[in-house]
Parts: sequence; structure tokens; C-alpha cells
Amino acid sequence: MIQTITAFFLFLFTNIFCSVTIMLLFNRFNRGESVSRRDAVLFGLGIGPPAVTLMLYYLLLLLPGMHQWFYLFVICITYTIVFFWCGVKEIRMLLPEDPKKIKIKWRLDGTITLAGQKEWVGWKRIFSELSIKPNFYTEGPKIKHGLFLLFILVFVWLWIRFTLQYPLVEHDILEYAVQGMIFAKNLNIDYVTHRFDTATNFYYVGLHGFSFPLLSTWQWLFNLPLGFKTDFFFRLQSGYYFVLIFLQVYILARKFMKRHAIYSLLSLVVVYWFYDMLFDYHIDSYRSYLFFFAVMSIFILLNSPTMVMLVFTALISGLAAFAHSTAALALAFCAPVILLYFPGKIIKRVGVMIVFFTLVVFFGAGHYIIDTLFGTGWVFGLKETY
Amino acid sequence: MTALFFSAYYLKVEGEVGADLALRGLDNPLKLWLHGYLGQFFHFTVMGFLSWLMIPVYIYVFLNGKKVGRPVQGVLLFLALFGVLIAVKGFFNHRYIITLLPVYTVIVFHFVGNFLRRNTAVPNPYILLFGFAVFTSISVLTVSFVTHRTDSDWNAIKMKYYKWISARDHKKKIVKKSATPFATINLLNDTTIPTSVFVNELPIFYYYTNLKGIYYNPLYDFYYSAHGKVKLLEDRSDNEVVAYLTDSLNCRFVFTSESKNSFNPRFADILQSRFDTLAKDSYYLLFVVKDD
Repeated sequence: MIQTITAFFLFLFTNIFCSVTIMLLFNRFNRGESVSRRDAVLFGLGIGPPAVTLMLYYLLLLLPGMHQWFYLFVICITYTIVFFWCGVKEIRMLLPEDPKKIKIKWRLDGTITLAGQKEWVGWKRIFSELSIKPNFYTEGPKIKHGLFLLFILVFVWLWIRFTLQYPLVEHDILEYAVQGMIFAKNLNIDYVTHRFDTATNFYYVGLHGFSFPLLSTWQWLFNLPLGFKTDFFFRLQSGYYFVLIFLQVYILARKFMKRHAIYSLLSLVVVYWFYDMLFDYHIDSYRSYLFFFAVMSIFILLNSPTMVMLVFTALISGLAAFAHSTAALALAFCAPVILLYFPGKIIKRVGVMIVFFTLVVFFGAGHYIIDTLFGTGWVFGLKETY
Repeated sequence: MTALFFSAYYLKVEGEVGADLALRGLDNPLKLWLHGYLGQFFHFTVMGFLSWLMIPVYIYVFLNGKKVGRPVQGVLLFLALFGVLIAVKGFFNHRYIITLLPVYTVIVFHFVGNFLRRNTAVPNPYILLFGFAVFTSISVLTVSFVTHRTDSDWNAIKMKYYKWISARDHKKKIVKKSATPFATINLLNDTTIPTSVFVNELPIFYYYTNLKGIYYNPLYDFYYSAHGKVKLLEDRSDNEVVAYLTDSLNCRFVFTSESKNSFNPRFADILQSRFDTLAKDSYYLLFVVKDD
């Protein structure tokens, strides 16, 4: 039980705290220009784990062989410093400037609005919008966030209950988990033609980036010094990103049709294989979330071509590529998109493309270049594709 | 469209597709095309009808470029190219198709909503949208469950939807103790194994035990060494295979499962004739070589 609880705190730190920290850092530079502060934080609630694994990747690559606590300490202290540097100020930006001056107006249908303000701001407002008053006889249903939160709570309950009960047993997830454990035991990432572990004779057949296996590494870096054996943190990831996909779709659907956004979720829940992401530990929800985030970032970048947005889009795209080969291959499509649709003259577009791809390599896609040239050969090597 | 979908499940077209594709459910050329290359459109249990709804969206966007704006065009070009990539390079795995599900959902929602808002002749467009969503949902759900009506698939569905309700004791052990629910794994952990174990493509062995195992791929008949792949059964008789396992690889034990054994019948026959079953649980088997 103690191991499960500590793993859950590791989850809270990595998935929630680190995600919020990165998005607050983004907000600090973006200042709500390209995307609203609140949407950025809510949409980015899954960015923490891939960002942590990217840092861990560089630490294991460049500073191998240190004690497990060293890697944990460096990453934890980095995020804590960043949070306090930008977090307190940015959290304050999410709150109303002077709550006493804001007039709260009660509407007859039970919802509340801030007089003179077009957009909801502040943590209190998010929770205060829980008005559930189904009324199908007037202009559309009046159910707002309440129904969505109820919807999400059902899936959160399913997710936590499944994760508590079901162990890692399927082939693919165990490949990632074992390789992550090997990274944690060896405290080293190297690039070799055959990823063969001499201690166990395990041969890693995976082709993709190390982001997902490094989540297992992150777990075991925490476990090994304490003698723990739990993998609860790693098992929580699939369901967490499954829930986040609902949140992503809902946030965007509300931009188009506020009151009927809940219908957009129907196309997710009726698909049989979508439940695979919840009831089957796998990388799918993790990489689908990152892919979706990258696509949205590209859209916002084309809409609002700022330097901050360019760097952030490169970060998300790089992290998505670092998670899975399909996103890495899809990076090539960013070239025609930028060249054809980025605002400005052709020379500027070429420059943006060069900057974008340079950053993407640094943010995770570089793994494939190294692996192709000095490692297994990636998709160009003679291996089965998994 | 419906006829094509059902035909993919019930019609068999003769033709070779390869063992790996057959294991992934693409066991004849018709399925290979409908559920593989064109899986985005005909694998309804993965994408529903979304890909079909995206076709008018693509046409509209690329014909009305100036109206929709360059960002929308850019994103749709990216998604179209990604869809082609999945069809060409990722056709063998339905999981790659599902990457597009959330983003297509949002795009279709946006364009359908816009269409309904602009066409005021449509009576009460939100009720229409709601009705369309319900109809689509019921249709896809019905198709999904009808096409999965085989014994093994019903069991798979039950496992997926009801395992969290199950009160089986072996699952509760995961929360209370660190033991696994598998007797074979526990036996491996509790017993001193003096030699390596020949592992039939089951990474669970490496995760839950601290033993050394030679990792074997039964479908293509090779095991992995520090220098790459090495064939096992090719050019060897059954006796030579057993001698190779025990003498050269120092493996007197084989950790496998019924489903993995089915990938290579000859290997399964060798296990049945030259090895004794040491342990068996609901999923896994542990064999030890027979003493001569």
C-alpha cells in the first residue's frame, strides 16, 4: 500500500505538477496572445511526462552512471525552480484582478456570468460553472461542464479501478517496461546495433523513441534506492492520457459549439477499439494525445506566428516524435505545410522551417538520427516493425 | 459501404498475405485491403464513420481555400499526408489508425456545426445534430458488437469491459502482495534455476523474474543473441535442436504459452515430445527437457 501511495505521488508530481509548470512557463512568454492561459494549462496537462523523459534521456546520455537520486534530484529541482520563477505570477494571472469589483450576475437558468467579461477567468470560476439544468424544451440543452465532469468522473473511476487491479501482462507494454527497467539499472543510454542486455539476455525489438520506456525508467529510478517494486505509476499513464483525450476534444469542441460540445465525445465512446486505450496498457493514448497536441500547435502557429509559438510547436512535435515513429515520420510533412501556409515571404518561410527542424531535433527527434547512424538503423535496419 | 464492411468479415478471398499479417487479423487479401490499406474507411470498429465524414470536409477546404484560411488548409494537408502514411506504412496495425480519431472528431464537429448554423432552413439544427450523433453511435455500436460475435471475441470483449468488475482472487494479489497472478512466474522466482531459460517471445519473463532468458521469435524461427538473429530449427533435426538448446545455449527450461506455441507447430511438437511440463497456469507453460 505504501508503495502504491508513493507511486501515486510520483504521478501527481510528474503528470500534474510538471505539466502545469511547463504550461505556466509557456503562458509567461505567450502572455495569452496565441492561446488563452486557461486553455493552455488544461490542454497541456499531459506534457509533463514526455518532457520529464526528454530531460532524463539527455541526463542518461550525457551523464551516465550517476546515482539514481541524482537524476531524480536534478529533474525535480529544475521543475520546482521553474515553477516558482513563473508559476506564482502566472497562477495569479489566472485569477480575477480585483474580485470585489467583478459583478456576478445570476441568470434565470442557474448559470453565472461575470459582468463585462467575455471569458471566464480564475480557478473559482471553473468550479462555479457546475450548473446542471437539463431543459430540452427550450433552445438546446442547458447542460454545461457538469455533464462533462460527470462523464469524466465515470472514466476516471474505471481507469483507477482497472489500474489498481490489473498487472502488466501484454507483450508490447512489457517490452517498454523491461527496457525502461534496464535503463534504470544500467543508468546509461547508449546506441548499439543490437539492443541486447547481457545481464538478462533480453533483446529490445522496439523501433520507437525512448519516451515511453523512460517512464518506466523514471519509476524504477525512484523504486531501486527504496527497494520498491511497484509499477503503479507506469500503469497509470495509459488511462490518464485516455481521459486527457476527452478533455482535449471537449475544450476544442466548446470553441465551436459551446452548449453541444458534449456530443463531440459520442464519436469517441462508440468506437470499440477506443476502449483499448483504457482497458489495455499501451502507448496509444500517450502518443495520440501528443499527436493531437502537435496538430493543434501547428494550427495555432499558422494562425499566430510568434517566436514563442514556434518554439512551443517544435517542443510538442519533438516530444511526439520522441514517443513514436509515426510522429517522427510525420515531421517530414511539416516542411510542405510551413513552406506553403506560413505567413510571410518564401525566404522567411524557409528560415522558419530551418529553425523549426533544428529545434525539433533537439526536442526529441534527434534520437532517430543517432539511432539510424550509430544504432539499430531504425526503420532502415533489417528488423520487424512493432 | 455496409455490404463491403460485412463482406470483409464473412467473405474469404483466396490469396497469401503472410503469417504476420494473418496473426493481426488481415488473413485474406480482401481484409488486407479493407481493414489494412483502407482501414481508415472500412475498419468501423476503429474509426466509426469519421473518415467518410472527413471526405466532404477535405473537398470543401481545398476548393474554398481563401474562405477557410491558410491555417485550416495547412492542418488538413498535414492530416491528409499523415493518413496516406498510415495507409501505406502503418496498415498492418489498427492502433495507428486510431491516432486520427480525436483530431477528426473535432474537425468534423466544427464543420458540421458550421453547416447546421448557416443553413437556417434546417429545422432546429441542434436537435438534428443530436439525432445524427445518436443514430451514428447506435449504428457503429451495433456493427461493432455484431461483427465480434464469436466465442473468442465475446471473451475478449468481456475481458476488456468486465475485468474491472471481476473479483477474482489472483487479481487482488497485485494490490496486497508483490506476487504475480501466474503460477509459472512464481515458480521461476521461488526455484533456483541453474541454467538459462528459453523464452518464447514473452517479455513478462524478464519483467517479473531476475533470470536469464534466450529470447525466441516463434513466427520467424530465430532467437536473439548479442550479434543479432540466429536460426533455431532450420537445418536441424529435432534431436539436434534439443542438443543445441541444452548444450550450446545452456537452456533446459522453456517458458512459453499455448498461443505462442501455435505460431510454430514444429517447435510445439518438439516441446510435447522432448520436454516435460513442469508448471502450467491460466496463460503460461514451463517445460523442462526430459532426462534421457
